[in-house]
Amino acid sequence: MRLVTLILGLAALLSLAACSGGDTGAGQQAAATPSVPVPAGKIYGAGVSSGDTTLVSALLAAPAVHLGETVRVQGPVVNVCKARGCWLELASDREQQKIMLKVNDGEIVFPPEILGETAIVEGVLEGIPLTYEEACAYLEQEATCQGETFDKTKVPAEGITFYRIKGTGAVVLASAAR
Amino acid sequence: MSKFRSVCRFLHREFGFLAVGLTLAYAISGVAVNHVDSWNPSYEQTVDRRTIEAPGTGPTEEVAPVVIERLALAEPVRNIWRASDEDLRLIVESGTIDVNLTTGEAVAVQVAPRPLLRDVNFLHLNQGKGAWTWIADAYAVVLAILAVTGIMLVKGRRGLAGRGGVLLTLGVLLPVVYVVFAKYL
Repeated sequence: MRLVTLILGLAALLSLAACSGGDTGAGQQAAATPSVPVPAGKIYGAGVSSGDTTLVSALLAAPAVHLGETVRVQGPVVNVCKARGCWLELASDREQQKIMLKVNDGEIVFPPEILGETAIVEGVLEGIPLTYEEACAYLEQEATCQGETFDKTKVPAEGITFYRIKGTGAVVLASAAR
Repeated sequence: MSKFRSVCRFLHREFGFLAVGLTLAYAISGVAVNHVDSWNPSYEQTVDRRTIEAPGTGPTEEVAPVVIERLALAEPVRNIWRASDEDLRLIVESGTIDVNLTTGEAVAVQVAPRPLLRDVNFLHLNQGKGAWTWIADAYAVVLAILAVTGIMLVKGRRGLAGRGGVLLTLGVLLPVVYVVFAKYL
């Protein structure tokens, strides 16, 4: 009898848990204004707000202007952190350009399955100045982690300012989301 | 006191059975995720290198079909990205293929989920969020109940007043000493 009571109590607890909604995970719909609806798709983190997206090329053409601003960009996912799923890279509308969306480890996890899909991402643009040595160390570590080849000759001797979006959410578009 | 000990035994026994599944899942995932710096706990990554006849660094719309044909891929291409004048990335179902258009060297990085591990990591890292947050919280409460009731299971020399007390002290000191040395000294 006691066992039955225990099981019933736990079942009630689990049911309560299952009925309550999530707060930050995939599946949450971001707030949207009626004018420009957020496209349907799989939502990560806080998703994205409604409104126009900025071209990645426009962002990277004058990044200093947008530093600290909340930006929203769209493009095909061309790279995902395979170890922790803590970042992804979107290809720009212009060839040979890309931009990284970095999220806090564990808060949002991007699976490698979204590679090649189109995503809309949102967050605050930040610029991180790196010396040549710092850039080499960072890029080499990332390349090793991704199973890719790192070429030191492609890093400018004066170092780089690494622009990325500190992400709050993303939507991988429904037509391709699995 | 014997009534209290009896309740503890009951709770420890019942919750103990209940917690077996999640404890094993979290333990397996815990070890896997603990070593994330030296391996990928959720995905198996394989790198395959080969060389094709170099297609040259022409416009992407011209070289991409040539690359695809020369690689003779068994799976469809999901997307193409020109990373640089010399580098073209093909994104396929199983991962990515980076082709150096000048040398013809192709590096395919394939990523496949690790059976079981990916799922227990999904639970342990609470990647699903939502309802699982509450279930994991409930499980944490169950673990706390197991810990507290476990102290009361045995009395006498093997209990809290004897060997059990020594082991309990060791178990509490271990994390405390580690944190003091690792963070504050």
